[in-house]
Amino acid sequence: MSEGHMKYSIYDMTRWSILTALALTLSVTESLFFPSALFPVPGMKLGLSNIVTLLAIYLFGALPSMLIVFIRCLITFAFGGNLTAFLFSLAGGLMALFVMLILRNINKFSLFGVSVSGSAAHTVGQILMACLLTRTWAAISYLPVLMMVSIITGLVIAGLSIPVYKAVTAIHPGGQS
Amino acid sequence: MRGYPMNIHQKNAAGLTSAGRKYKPQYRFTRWDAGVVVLIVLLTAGIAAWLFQTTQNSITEDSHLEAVLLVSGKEVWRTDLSVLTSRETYDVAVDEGGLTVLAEAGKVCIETSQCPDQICVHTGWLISAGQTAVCLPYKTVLKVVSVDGQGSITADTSALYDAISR
Repeated sequence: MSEGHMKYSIYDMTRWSILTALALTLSVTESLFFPSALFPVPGMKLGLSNIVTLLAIYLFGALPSMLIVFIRCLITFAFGGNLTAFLFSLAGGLMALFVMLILRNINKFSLFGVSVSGSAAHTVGQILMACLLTRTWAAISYLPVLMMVSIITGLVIAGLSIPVYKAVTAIHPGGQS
Repeated sequence: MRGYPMNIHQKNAAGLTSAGRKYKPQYRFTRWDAGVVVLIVLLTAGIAAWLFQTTQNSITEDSHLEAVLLVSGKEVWRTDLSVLTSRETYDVAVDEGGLTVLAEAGKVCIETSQCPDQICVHTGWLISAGQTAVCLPYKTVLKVVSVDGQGSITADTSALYDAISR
């Protein structure tokens, strides 16, 4: 029984899939509790699925995180059908991922810093996509409000991720899983 | 390949055991985190100041305020707020209901609406360029723009609403 020389095993890929499903569940649940129409500014949301992104970059690495973000955006689009929302979340998610991966390697930043910069990059990515879609720079006027909100949500997301991360890594301290 | 066992019972499951994990994150809020937050706040304040500056600059000598009403992205009504002397209303009817726009000298608002949210009505009076009142159920945007002598719009920030409500 020879397995191929894959870098990642099925075991790992299953773990990523579970996280992807978790991210999708979180985004659906979040939209149930906080419908988008409730917020004064379009695009303001809690972003609970970024908990998964944050966990993924520390637990798994760059490629799995990218896959998780991309696939969750894709599935949300496949079931929701809103092309604009897909482009927005993809732009924001990839931008956030990029920034978080850079900051992750600098040990001076805690999960809080990584998460805040991730959500700020998410906001910037979404606004840039909005400018691209509307062909004007008018969307930049939403930057100040959304940035302030994203700082707060970034801190909240990190606060929610830390217990999860500790719990997950406590289950597998270094022995057999 | 760096030590990823292929059997079912993973000893060093990538990422989940301390041997498989490459990064150990900090849990406490560090000084650098505070620095990041401060940096973002400063950037935001800078951009807000710059935005305020450009909006102020766009109010030139011969610019006046106009109210524009768009339904599904198409302009259906426009009125010059600076020359109004009395009340002016405009009714919009869509399949699910309708709303009424009220314009007086220098200000405009959505007076009544049959939408379930009533966010548009609660927005209240729009008095300066760039302000908008949006009725998402009816895909209607009421915005105030600053138009200068040549008739070109100098302050218009509601393009994002258009993109999202489309």
